[in-house]
Amino acid sequence: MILFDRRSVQAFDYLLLFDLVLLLSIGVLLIASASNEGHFQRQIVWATAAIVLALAVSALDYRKLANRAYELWAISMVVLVGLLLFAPVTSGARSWLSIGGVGLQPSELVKIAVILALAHYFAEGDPLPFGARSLFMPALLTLVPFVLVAAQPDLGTASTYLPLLAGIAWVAGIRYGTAARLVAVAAGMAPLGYLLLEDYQRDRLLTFLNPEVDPLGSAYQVVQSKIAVGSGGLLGTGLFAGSQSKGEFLPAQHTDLVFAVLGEELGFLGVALVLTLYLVLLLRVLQTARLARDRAGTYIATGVAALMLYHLLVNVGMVIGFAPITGIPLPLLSYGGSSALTTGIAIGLLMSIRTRRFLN
Amino acid sequence: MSTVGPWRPESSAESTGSRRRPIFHHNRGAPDDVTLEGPIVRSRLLRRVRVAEGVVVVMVTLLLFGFWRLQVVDAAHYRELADNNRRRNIVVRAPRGLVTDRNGLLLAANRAAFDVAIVREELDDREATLEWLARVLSVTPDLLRERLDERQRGIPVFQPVVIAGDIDASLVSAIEARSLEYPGVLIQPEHKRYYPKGLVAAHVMGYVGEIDAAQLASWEQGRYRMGDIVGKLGLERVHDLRLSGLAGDEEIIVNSVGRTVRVLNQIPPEPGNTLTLSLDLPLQQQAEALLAGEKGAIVMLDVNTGGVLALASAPTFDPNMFARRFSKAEWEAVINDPDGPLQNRALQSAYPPGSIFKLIMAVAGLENGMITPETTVACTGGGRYYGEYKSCNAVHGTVNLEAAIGRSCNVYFYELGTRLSRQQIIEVAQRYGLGARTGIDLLNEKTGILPTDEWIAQAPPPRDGNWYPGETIGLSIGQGPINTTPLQLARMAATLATGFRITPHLVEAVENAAGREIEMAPRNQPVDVNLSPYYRAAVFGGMRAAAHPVTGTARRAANPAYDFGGKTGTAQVASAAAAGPEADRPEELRNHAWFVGIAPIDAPEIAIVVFIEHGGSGGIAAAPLAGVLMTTYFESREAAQR
Repeated sequence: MILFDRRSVQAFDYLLLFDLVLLLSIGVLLIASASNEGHFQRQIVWATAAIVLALAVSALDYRKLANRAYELWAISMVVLVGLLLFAPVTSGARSWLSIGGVGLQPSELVKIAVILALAHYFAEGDPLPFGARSLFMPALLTLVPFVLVAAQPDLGTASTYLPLLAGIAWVAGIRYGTAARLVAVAAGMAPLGYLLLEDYQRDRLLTFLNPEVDPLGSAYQVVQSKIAVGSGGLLGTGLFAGSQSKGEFLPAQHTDLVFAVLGEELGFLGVALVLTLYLVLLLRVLQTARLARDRAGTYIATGVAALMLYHLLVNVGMVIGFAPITGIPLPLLSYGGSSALTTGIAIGLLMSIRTRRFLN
Repeated sequence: MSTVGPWRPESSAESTGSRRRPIFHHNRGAPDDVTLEGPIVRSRLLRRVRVAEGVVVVMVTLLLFGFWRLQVVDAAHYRELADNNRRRNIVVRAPRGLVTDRNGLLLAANRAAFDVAIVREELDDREATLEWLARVLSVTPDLLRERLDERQRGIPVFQPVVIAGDIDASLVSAIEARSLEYPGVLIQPEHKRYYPKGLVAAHVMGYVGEIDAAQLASWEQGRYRMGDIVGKLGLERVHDLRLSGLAGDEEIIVNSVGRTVRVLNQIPPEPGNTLTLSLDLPLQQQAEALLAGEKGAIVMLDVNTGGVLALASAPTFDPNMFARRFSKAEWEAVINDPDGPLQNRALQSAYPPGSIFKLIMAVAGLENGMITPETTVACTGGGRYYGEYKSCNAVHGTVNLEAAIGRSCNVYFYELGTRLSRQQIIEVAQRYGLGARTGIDLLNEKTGILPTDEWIAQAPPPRDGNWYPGETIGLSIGQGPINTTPLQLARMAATLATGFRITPHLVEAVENAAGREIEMAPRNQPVDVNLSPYYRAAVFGGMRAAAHPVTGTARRAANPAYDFGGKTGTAQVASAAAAGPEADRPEELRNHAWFVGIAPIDAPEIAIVVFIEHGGSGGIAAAPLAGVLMTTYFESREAAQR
């Protein structure tokens, strides 16, 4: 299973590794600038762990993992149910699992299980265009963890499972008509979904739609984040010199709003650089989807791309008021072990797919 | 390689038929440059991934566009917002200056006080917080709710609103201990004006309060701000510019919850100056004690400098009341009190001087050559002047000036009144400061009344600009259209004592917080009234006679330990004929009691006036009080000399 020969070394995706290391490094710098509580030392540990994990996973055969996808998925669900039953409430949600004093969010790692399970399911089936009926099982694989995580309650993380299904189903060949109908149904259900939201979630949504309503209430984060980013200008205030981050105007600045710190301190040029790095990453992942030697590989890569794109759009979009406030981190840049490890595993899977594209 | 059909990797690997050498034992021999998919499936997969790639490019471009708009197009706007975000200017109020008596005893100081303020933005649960605070402060939640609603107007949500002022120190820790549970509740330390001696010298000190719109508009522009604590009455008001100091400014960087992160720039407040008064606290306290239960005033002046040693008015009020947030009922009780406790009777009320005026008459008679000290008049207990019978207080027989003053013979002065014109009398009265403000550093001083030509011309009917000779007779004993304030008479006595008309004052010296003396605007120079030593000796002879322990009208002020000259006065409020014997009259018809003294009479140091409103006879109601106070003065002077 472990491979280590000339050919594999040549086929290894160095660009992806470079991109990964670069983004993680920028993330560490931003966290060092945004937080003075030793977060950045811990982030160095997490970033290193993520790289090591990526390399380790890249040495595994993704197909073996895909074949075990349902078991992984089942174990994940057991963990999520266990969390709901036994985990203490931390920051208002039962989402943390403490292993040897290190806090982890299983809901992050569950993303990998969901990706693998969906990829495995679609890879198992006929490679023919399919309709809504074929979506029953994938919907189950997605919605069960969605409900379990939403119940923690952590709607932000729960929402990240949905684009996995959408992305993989799209590439796997869902019929255009079915896709269009599903989008229409989802749009029609939106008001119903609104009724199910908690008050603060509705506030956030309304605030997103109209931020000037209450600049000191729910819109606070949006307004402060836009001020931080906008005041950065073209060149930024310089790393470690952002007044908004230093003045603690930005809430959650080293986690969910780390991109605002980037915008303030490194300006539009820094933002453009980092967005380019993400673009390269995403295109590389999708290229891997194209190059994969089997459909499982294609689907796993697609799932990873969908996950990354969703995080990027929601997190970065939130910073400039394009998306409502949701507490989801930006992979590779935000502070946080679970997110770093999950991304590390995802990138490792990608590397495994790419390395093995010539192999049987 | 192309295969069609079932898609499992295993089967497709079989269907390729290719048997290349496996690189690894676990690879099942698929060729390394082909995928396991059929071309149709593969092309569809590729197409769909291409679409996904397109979506990614569009999305990231959109994000980039968003940042472009924010950071390049609107950068200036956001930079301005960011500047406002981090910088905040706050006012640091200056502690108000101290006030001490002439010996450095503290009369007005500041004490630490604590206000409870609410920062609405930080409140978790407004109702729960207010209910908890109400329990701690022992008030109703409704009261706090009302105050918050009322006071939050115009104040941004992130700034504190004071909802309870000057709370007990024991409550401070009770509130702070639970600040985590109830965020948004602040304890704000503050300076509050404090009068350590309480009621002492209330009329002199005045009180302080929040600046009102009228003061804000009319006082020195730019110096005062809304919410400033300023003097409202008394010295606090007159010397507010010296006492209030200058507020400081702090430019700070605050975080999103308003907590100071860093101080950028600091202009420290300039504390108010310390005022040293001419008042002598023990004398002041005694003067007030002497007036307890009375309505009246006592003034003691340093005849040489015009410094006020004591200035008491009764009834009085507690200036500390105004420093805390008092209730409307309390305020109305003070304002509407018929005894007028806020009224400073020493200078804001004027009364007929009665026989005290005889001192002016004596000077006028001597200076105009109508009498000499030896001139005598026979007193038979009264006489008829201009058709009206005017009585004396006794049958004095033949009296010269000394006896006339010493025993307060009316007939002597009636006689003098027939020889002097009104103008001659008024000229002297004005020279000695009657009918004009003394210029003391307190507000709302009364001018009093003198029957000058202008006054007569403006006087209401039925006078019609007339002055009757009989009125000059009344004027001779200080009755009729003549009103003087106790302070005016004290200055008059001081002028007689030195020959110079001084300006009474309370503030002796001003020091800044560093202890350096600040020059005050020069006081009015003493005015030489050209009193001949010869005439003064004659008047003093009379005043000394009045202090004679057996025969003098002011004998009840006498003390063998010191030497003084005095004059009593009993100003008629109603005639005996109309109102009957004084003891039987209702209080408001009883006479006003006066005493004016100079001590020591040989080398004058002080002038004293005691006035008791409706107190009856000056010799009985006023003179003894002056005696006690003068005794204290001389005792403390001796103690200081030892």
